[in-house]
Amino acid sequence: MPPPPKPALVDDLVEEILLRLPPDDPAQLLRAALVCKRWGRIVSDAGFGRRFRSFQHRSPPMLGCFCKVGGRNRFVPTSSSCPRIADHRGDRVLDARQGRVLVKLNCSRQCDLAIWDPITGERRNLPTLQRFAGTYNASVLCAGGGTCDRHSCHCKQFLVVFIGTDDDYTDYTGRIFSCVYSSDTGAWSEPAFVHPPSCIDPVPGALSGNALYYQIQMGNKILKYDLGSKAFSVIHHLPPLRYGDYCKHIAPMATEDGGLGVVRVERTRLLLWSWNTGQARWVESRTIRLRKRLPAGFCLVPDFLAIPDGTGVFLLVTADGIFSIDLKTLKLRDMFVYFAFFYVF
Amino acid sequence: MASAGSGDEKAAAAAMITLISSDNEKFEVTEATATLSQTIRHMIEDGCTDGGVPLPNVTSKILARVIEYCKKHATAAAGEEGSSSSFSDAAFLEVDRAFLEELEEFDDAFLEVDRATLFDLILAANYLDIKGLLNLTCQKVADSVKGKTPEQIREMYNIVNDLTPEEEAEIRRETQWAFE
Repeated sequence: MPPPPKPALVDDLVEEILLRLPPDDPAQLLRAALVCKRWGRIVSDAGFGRRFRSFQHRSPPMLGCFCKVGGRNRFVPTSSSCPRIADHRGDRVLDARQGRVLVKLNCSRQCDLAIWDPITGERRNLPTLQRFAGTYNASVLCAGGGTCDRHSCHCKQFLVVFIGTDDDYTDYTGRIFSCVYSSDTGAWSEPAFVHPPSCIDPVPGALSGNALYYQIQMGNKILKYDLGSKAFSVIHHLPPLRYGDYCKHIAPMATEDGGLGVVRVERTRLLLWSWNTGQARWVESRTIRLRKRLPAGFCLVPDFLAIPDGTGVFLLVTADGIFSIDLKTLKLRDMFVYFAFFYVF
Repeated sequence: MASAGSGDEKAAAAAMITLISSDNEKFEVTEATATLSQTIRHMIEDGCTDGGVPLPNVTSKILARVIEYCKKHATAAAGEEGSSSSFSDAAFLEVDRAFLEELEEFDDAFLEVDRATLFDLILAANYLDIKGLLNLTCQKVADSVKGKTPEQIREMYNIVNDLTPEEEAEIRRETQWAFE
């Protein structure tokens, strides 16, 4: 005789468990639904689908990343459920968010951009922006901007925010302008300007709250672009270096509470800071030591650092490969080992 | 209630709460430990913890484990707060980091229990509304189901297959959303 079954979990708790099944393996959910009537009823419930999506999509899965190897863009899958995606050779990837990839077309004028859906292969060229920019950056986001709930967003329309320095030379003195493209109107907005002269760094911008943040002036300042008021502001002082006197790897990021953070590589450490708006100062929030997390014998000094929007992971690109670090669990995954230098765009 | 004075804060941190299990065993815990439970936090806020907090749904065996979890995580929460307010002390941050790793190890070891205890912990975490513990324990069960067939899951959790072929076909239709 088998031991008598434990008092069964009430439906609410079975649901709590089923909500935690892996979102990238729907067959698992079906197998659980076929266990018995009770479990089947829970999974078939209309509300469960919504809760499952919203629970799991707190951290949307990252399917892969784009790297530049020897002048050529490569797509590196990082999940087994990632479909086969062709390398997007030639074009430069500027940003990727919610399944849309923003590319700058090769062999074209400076501001010819396109939106590409790597899953369907569909590509949409944007009208040429009639301005030249010395240095520039651009972001793609859904039409709801920062106010849209990313986890349940199914916006068909999107925005592209372009910021550039308003001159033809990279002499770091141009004023900054912004233009916004809306897929709804199919046109670019008139430019808006901010006067402090600066150059814009080619590090992907971060979306947090209803604002985009870009690194400017060789990593010395952060430019905030408010999507609601369409106004710029500049955060002048970045946190002082803690370890060493030189740092070339820094990136803005969204904090969990919808504020601004930066992450910086200093020697073999990742330092995370958050911006306290009330006190107008940076507060150090975490230090992650890489030495003990990277495999023995591997290059300890990252060449590049990237933070895919909303995924809760860092990508560390070293001479020996790409690693992802989960910000919550601090677990490190070797994603791809390739003996060459990488640049993530 | 809470005062801005640091002396009062210390006094509040040291305040003790008595928790009483279903089998009438008493556990003295600090308020910081007890308030990881939202249920107990609300009771403290409502001022109804004098004479102890009876927990008729939780046995002493399970309550002891729950308190062990809360003690460890309450210390971690205090450490996290400290790290964000003092940002000039690198050594402190390194220690803090080591502590978080230790916490991960603690959680892994904490979950090394039999299935009946795990289920009781889930029920207690739900009743006491301790989000971290509920997440930890439910994820453990979800992980145990991963990669298993319906038959294997039934066997693991002593579940009887009460589905008719028609119902099975209906479930297949209704769970189609997961594949979209």
